[in-house]
Amino acid sequence: MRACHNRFPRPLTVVVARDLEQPAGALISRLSLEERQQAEAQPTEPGSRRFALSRLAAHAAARQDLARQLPAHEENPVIEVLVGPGGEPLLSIDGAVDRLGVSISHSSRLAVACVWRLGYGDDSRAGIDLERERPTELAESPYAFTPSERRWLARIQGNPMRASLAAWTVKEAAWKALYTQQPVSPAEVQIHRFDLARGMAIAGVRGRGLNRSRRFIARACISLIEGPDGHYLLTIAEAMACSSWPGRMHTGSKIRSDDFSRLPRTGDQNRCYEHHFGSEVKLAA
Amino acid sequence: MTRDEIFAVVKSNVQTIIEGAKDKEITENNSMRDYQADSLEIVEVVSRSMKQLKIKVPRTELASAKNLKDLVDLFEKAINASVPQ
Repeated sequence: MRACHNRFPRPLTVVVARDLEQPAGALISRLSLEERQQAEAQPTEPGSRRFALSRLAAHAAARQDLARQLPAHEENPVIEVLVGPGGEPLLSIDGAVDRLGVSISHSSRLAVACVWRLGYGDDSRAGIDLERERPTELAESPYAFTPSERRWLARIQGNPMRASLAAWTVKEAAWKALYTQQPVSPAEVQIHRFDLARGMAIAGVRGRGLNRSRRFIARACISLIEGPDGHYLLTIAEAMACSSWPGRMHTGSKIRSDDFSRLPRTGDQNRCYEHHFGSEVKLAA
Repeated sequence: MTRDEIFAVVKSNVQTIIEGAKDKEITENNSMRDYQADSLEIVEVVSRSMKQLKIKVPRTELASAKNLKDLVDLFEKAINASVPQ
């Protein structure tokens, strides 16, 4: 792969929140007024729970990051997740949306949020995606994957269902990270490197309306985590600018079903927390 | 294959795959997002429907579908294009 300039040197804070089956009202009551209205507007009760859980994960990640930034950070800042002009989540800290960026995902009984500091002179983003492992025909889908992607998915030994779900989380996380350059659907994001054994991938889209020599890619880290109702695939992607395409794709080494159990890691300064609502915060990194 | 039969295939997959649609009335004017489908569920509904209908629709055309009516229209067009004249 040719050298790419990494525009994303900032540490990320990731929080995984587990649904402990508390009453939905107990989760929703911890949200801001606007978030509560959005939660209650969800058409189903599980939808309301997942919405609330994902917002609370974002709040927890913001608090963890703020606590690291300054020794004497503001106590109990007012934190809420707003909706941006393109539907993207925006983190408001005491009314300011220019301090922390956020990406959120939820699946079944887990929610996850990733935050990073803004104000470094560019709008680089991270994207996060979470999917519970379940039977799926995704690997065969010509809508989800290009012919070359389907060919290398078919060659992966071990757990092809896990591989296809992992590949999908790469597309979805990269789609969120490449916000200003994103195509209409995550399915249009192309995977250029996919090394499941190492839990790493590269995905991207070609620049639109911009300098045609610029390519926009995202570097992704893939992990397998244990949830209350099974395994989940968790992928975090960081946007990068690259002067040329990464080159030919390879599938990496063979995988075993228990090959990757690392927590998400995008740099030495990264921290990953698990937050069990209703109990103490536990540090897991 | 009639349009109603095509919609029946799509409707069945919507109710089977999308958790938020299981006990809901499925109408063509709604989109899958109206049933709280996430991106993966949308892909699975579209993929399974195309497989069952034995058709292929380009991704760029699928991206233009705003609701189930648009999706069924695309599937009907693909089926008609594949029928020998």
